Amino acid sequence: MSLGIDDIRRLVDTIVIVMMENRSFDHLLGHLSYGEHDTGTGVDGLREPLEQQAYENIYAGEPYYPFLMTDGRLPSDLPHEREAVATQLAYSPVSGKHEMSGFAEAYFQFTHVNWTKTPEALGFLTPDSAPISGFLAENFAVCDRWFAPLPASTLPNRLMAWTGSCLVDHTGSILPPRRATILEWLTDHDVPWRVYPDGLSFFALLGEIVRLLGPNFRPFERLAYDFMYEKQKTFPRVVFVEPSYGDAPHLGNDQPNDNHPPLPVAPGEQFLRMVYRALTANPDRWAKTVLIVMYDEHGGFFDHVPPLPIGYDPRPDGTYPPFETTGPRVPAIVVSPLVQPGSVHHENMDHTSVLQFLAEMFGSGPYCQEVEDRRTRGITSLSNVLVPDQPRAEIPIVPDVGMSYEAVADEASPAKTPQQALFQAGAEALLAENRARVKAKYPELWHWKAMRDVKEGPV
Amino acid sequence: MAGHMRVREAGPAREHRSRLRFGGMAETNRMRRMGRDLTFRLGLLLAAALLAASCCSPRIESFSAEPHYVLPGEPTTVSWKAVGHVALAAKPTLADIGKVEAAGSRTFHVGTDTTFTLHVTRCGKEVFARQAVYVVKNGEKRTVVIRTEPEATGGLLAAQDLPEQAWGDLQVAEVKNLCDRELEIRHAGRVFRMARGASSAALHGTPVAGRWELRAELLPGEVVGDPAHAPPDRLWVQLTVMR
Repeated sequence: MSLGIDDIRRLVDTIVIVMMENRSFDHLLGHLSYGEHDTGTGVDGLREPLEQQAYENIYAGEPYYPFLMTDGRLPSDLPHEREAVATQLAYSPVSGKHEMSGFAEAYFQFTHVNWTKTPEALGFLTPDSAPISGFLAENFAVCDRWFAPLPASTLPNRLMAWTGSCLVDHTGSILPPRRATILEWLTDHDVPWRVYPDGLSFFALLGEIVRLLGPNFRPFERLAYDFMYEKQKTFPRVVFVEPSYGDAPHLGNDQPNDNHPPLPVAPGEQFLRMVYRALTANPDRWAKTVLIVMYDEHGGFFDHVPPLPIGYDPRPDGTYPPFETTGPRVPAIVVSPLVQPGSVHHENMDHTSVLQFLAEMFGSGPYCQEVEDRRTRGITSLSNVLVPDQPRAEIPIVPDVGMSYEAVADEASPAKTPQQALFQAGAEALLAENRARVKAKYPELWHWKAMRDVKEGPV
Repeated sequence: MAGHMRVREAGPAREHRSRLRFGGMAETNRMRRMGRDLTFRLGLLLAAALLAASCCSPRIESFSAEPHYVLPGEPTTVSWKAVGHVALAAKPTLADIGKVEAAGSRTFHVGTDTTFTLHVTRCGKEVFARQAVYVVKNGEKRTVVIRTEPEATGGLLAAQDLPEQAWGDLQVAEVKNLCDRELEIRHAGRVFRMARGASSAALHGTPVAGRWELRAELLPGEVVGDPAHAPPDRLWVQLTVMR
């Protein structure tokens, strides 16, 4: 039985949102029902035997199955644009269902130079490789029917998350049409908010250039201090914490930690550990905090649960055919004293569940029509995950595990992928707004631009 | 203060100073020009180095191991083409392997499942790719699975080319129907029917590689495209392979 929204308003002061990159539910949390890692909580993950039809992928007449992998740098990124996702979901006109049997096929068609019976797209991790995700799942609430809103890549899904709508179906190399973002919605509703990006914020790609240069964007390094010491009257109600994106401009030894392949997950695990420690260092503030850790999309990794038949029609503004389903499931964990330890939430959710929650908390009606449409078609609010009427007093201690990794940033100049080009376009837009202020606030970005100009000439 | 001191300077001292100043200015300008020139040259060098670095990425243009399936000790050919410093590794380790030319091919006789990894480094960056070779024994069983599509006649068709690059010249010893219904099988110019669960030597001696067509009728109650009464989206046969 979940709490009523009035109770939640009384019990929750701060909502913290972390969106990581490109891992599927089964890839990161599927182990929660598998073998010795089975938590017995009924989570809909992977089960023994792995060689069963429900997990069987097909390529060139051969079957492929999920397998236990260890973390490490992958040979390449995995395919996850709209066409590749369609291959992965493998809709069968015979069965009338998405058979989720095309992940190996999409991967082999994408890489060309890799072939084994254990393609990376079918690998899944355990807490040995992803100990912080395992810790959070063990101690807080896993949402095992949280889907990427669209069967597409990063930009469409992040647009759904941060605007509630989407006018593009690919992550191209140009910035998307400007739409009102969640930051604008919060501002309009007088909700104090803040963003702590570890590097270039994704909001730079969504047109929030002026806000990026304002006081509500603070470096990730300030998160712990602010959570610990800032007075409540100035403290934000909604906080976005962003990892260092692998596709963003980087210089020197910066370590991306967004978990986007081919990066290993170890840096992202360390990032989540730092976020958790920062938030729990102040027990009083933590008692009234809800942290949401979610992934933007599945990144090309296998998941065995078919997408929900909840489509998205971009018309009249959109320039692409409507989507007929959601994307695959992604990992999502609600971390808060207001959830039961080791619990599993089975309701259908997607990124707009967060927007529903914010509208319940701070609005006077639906977030927007698109989000409301999804609610009426079965996407539930994140508020349904919050259960206890009193916050849990104990604060689980996050393990201090050593994780070795090598995730050296690629300067990515010139950009090698559309997503790198997109991030660079965001950086250029920010620099064009006010180069001096960018130099003062994001010096590494200013230096990146200077280096780029030397290499390629001013853009 | 400096202006006041200049006012007090006069005569030879001022002349000397002026000479020094003009001489010094020329010297300074010359030094500045040299400095600018040096800076320009260094800048050019730096830009050239950076440009080289930016274009300097390792690349794997092709990498393959053919066939993927071999009998113990049979040859498989590993081929590659890359840009950068190239090393070929194998797990388990094989002799006569390591640093190799940017493009080439080698034939290996493997006795156990082996994964070849091509490492390419250039300008401090590395990319890699993997190709596996699996050893199958004479008489070993392999599953073939093919997606179905509706046939105009109302039945199901599952058709697939099994690539020679994967299967080499392995042959079929026996076929077993793993489906819950009778199958009609077409392969290597032969056509025959198999009951559910039955085995057959009708394809004995034909190559595994090539086109396979499996046909099946709908069972009572099945409706194509109806998830509640769905026919199978795939059909399976089991091959016993041989050389």
